[in-house]
Amino acid sequence: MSIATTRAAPTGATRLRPTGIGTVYRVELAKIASQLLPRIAAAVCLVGPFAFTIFINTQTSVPADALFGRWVHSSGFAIPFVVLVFGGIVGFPLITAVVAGDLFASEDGYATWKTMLTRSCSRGDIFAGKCLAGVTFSAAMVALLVVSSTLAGVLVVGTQPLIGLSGQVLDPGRALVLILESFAVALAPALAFTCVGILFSVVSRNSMIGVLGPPVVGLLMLLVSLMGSGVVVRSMLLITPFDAWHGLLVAPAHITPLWVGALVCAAYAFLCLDAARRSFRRRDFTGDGRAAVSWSRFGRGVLVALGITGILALGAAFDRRWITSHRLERSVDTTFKNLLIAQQDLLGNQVKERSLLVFPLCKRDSVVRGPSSGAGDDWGCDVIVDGGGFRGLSVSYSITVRPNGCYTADGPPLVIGPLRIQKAGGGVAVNPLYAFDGCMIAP
Amino acid sequence: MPDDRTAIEARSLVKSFGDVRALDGFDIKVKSGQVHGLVGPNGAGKTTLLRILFSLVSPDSGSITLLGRDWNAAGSIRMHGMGGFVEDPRFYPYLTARRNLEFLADLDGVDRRLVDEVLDLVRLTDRADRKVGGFSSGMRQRLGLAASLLRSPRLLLLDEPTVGLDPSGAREVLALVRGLSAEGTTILISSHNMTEVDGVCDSVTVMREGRSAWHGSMERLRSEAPAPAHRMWTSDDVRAKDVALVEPGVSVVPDPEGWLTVSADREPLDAYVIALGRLGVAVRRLEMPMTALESMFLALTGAEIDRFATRDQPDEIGVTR
Repeated sequence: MSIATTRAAPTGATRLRPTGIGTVYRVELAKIASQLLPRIAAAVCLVGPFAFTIFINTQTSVPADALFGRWVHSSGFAIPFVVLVFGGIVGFPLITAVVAGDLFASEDGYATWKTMLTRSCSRGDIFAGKCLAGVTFSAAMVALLVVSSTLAGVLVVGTQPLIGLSGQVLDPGRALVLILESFAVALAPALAFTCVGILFSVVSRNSMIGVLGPPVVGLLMLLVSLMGSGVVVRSMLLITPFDAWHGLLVAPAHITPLWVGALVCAAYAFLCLDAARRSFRRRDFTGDGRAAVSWSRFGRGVLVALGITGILALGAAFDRRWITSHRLERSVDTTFKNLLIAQQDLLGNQVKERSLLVFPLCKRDSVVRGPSSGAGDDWGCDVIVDGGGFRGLSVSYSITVRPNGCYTADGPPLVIGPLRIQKAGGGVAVNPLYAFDGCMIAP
Repeated sequence: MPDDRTAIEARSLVKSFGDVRALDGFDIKVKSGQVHGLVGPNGAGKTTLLRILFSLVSPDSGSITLLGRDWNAAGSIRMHGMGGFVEDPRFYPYLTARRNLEFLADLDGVDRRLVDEVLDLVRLTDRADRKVGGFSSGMRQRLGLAASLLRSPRLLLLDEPTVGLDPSGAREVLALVRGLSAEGTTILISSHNMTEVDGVCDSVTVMREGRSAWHGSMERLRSEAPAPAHRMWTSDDVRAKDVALVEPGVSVVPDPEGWLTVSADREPLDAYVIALGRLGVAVRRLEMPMTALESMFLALTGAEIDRFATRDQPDEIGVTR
């Protein structure tokens, strides 16, 4: 007997509950949790920092090219900051785009728009619910990273004090607070990149473009930032807010980059979501919903991206330079002074900050006349130290200044001592002055 | 003005995709409780019409009333009481059938307990916990029907509901359609399968080039349909066509598959076949006549009728229905 001929319609109660954004949001979260790629991304965020920390702990060398990289053996609190540095330009955009870039395009890929859009939720509800789910996933991944990297650092390396970006010593409690604050600051550009991924997903209707688009945008912006050290163009780039947390790690703290970064992120998020919403609402869902990649359309997109990149790069080349010898000298002054005190403390010498006078004089080797400015690896600083037991000690550092204002200073071992020094209380410690990192904060 | 007895009313619908005009002033009116067929050759605009009714596509102009309420681009489906699918139903392949339906139940605001019931109705209970990625198109079709029934619709829009189903599955779906209709559900079926439409529909619209070529009840269609058509295969089609020219009441047209379509009532057809035999033209096969709807379809659209696996096998020579 055929069931279909015995009953035609379901007999159960069919009273409809109101549906809306919240309904779509819950369904989308459940769908995300059921998919392989988001699960892999979550696993990477959870396990990655532990694997990285354990691996680094077995090595004698350290990732000194990254901020805080030289401290990964000295303090567990350095690990989350290194993760933050590595995650910034490509990592966060890629992890967030795993879901954001696929949210809308996967419906095209599976041809399920006609299934989803013929239910009781409006297009507006579906758009908002999906966006919220994407943003939630991104925030969860950032939260997962901060927890796992902090735990990895603390459990594998320990809770030793950390040296800040002005050479100041940060006790474990302060370091922990700064880790949380720094990841919270990085959350804003991560969410903005999520919105970029959503735009790619809606417009391209192709998951691969949706997922890879945001990291490519990040790399193009990095390219622009390398073209020049201008303050205006740099502040317009979405990768810049990823560096805003540097302002929290210098002494005194600079919070202006945080607000500027938040505004830039909000602007990108609004523009991307608005464009995506308009495209989604206007769209006719024809065929089976799937759109093969239109190479002419893709080519136009690439040309537009390259055009914008070129214009920004040109603008960056002629932009007002904010990395100046004066700013570098001020930063080196504070950082060197703090590190010298820390070094002397390790050696058992008490040096009071007030009694110590530091006179840095910085210039670029390539500049013969006029003031030095801009990023480059040809900076040099002659630091003269007076007071605190030093009399006219002169130290010359070779300095590499990166476009984001952070720099690495390498000193002469004959004057400042070897990489590892014998502590007065016994044991060996990394010599803080052997090489150090610092950051200038953009105005 | 639409009344309570009108489930679907569309007037002067126009929709273009670039230079292609999919709907060109299309009109349709479907009474409540009826099963209405929508037939037409490929490109006639059937799927575009369904997509518009589902708010997947916005018309360029025209008006639509569904279940007594005006259509709106933001989502006519929010008007509870509508259900169905367009083209082949699609689901998330990484989820089970049950999970897919649970999500759709959530999006519809209906109780998840209905999921088991509709799975049972379409006989998918034993496959409910398998991932949809491994489903055949027929199983997806059943699942699409289940997803439509979740909403307990008063208006059901079905696009080729039996495509991909085996004959028994198709019969079950058609029985389900009849059952729903008996319970008062209005059903619009878009189909290429004339036998299916002929058997289940109360009324029909024949579409051609984005317009309504004919619209009315099946009774009226049967009375207005041209002479029934046969498909014939002979040893000499050229001579067979020549013979038809001198036989009264017989019209012969070659079809793209190499057959001859013969339009004639029974007596002129008998005379024609006898004449062919006398002239040495062997009639190797003479298929069952087309239904009234098929004849009408052919007359109105000039298009070849798609024949589906569910269709009966051709009768042997000389055996006509």
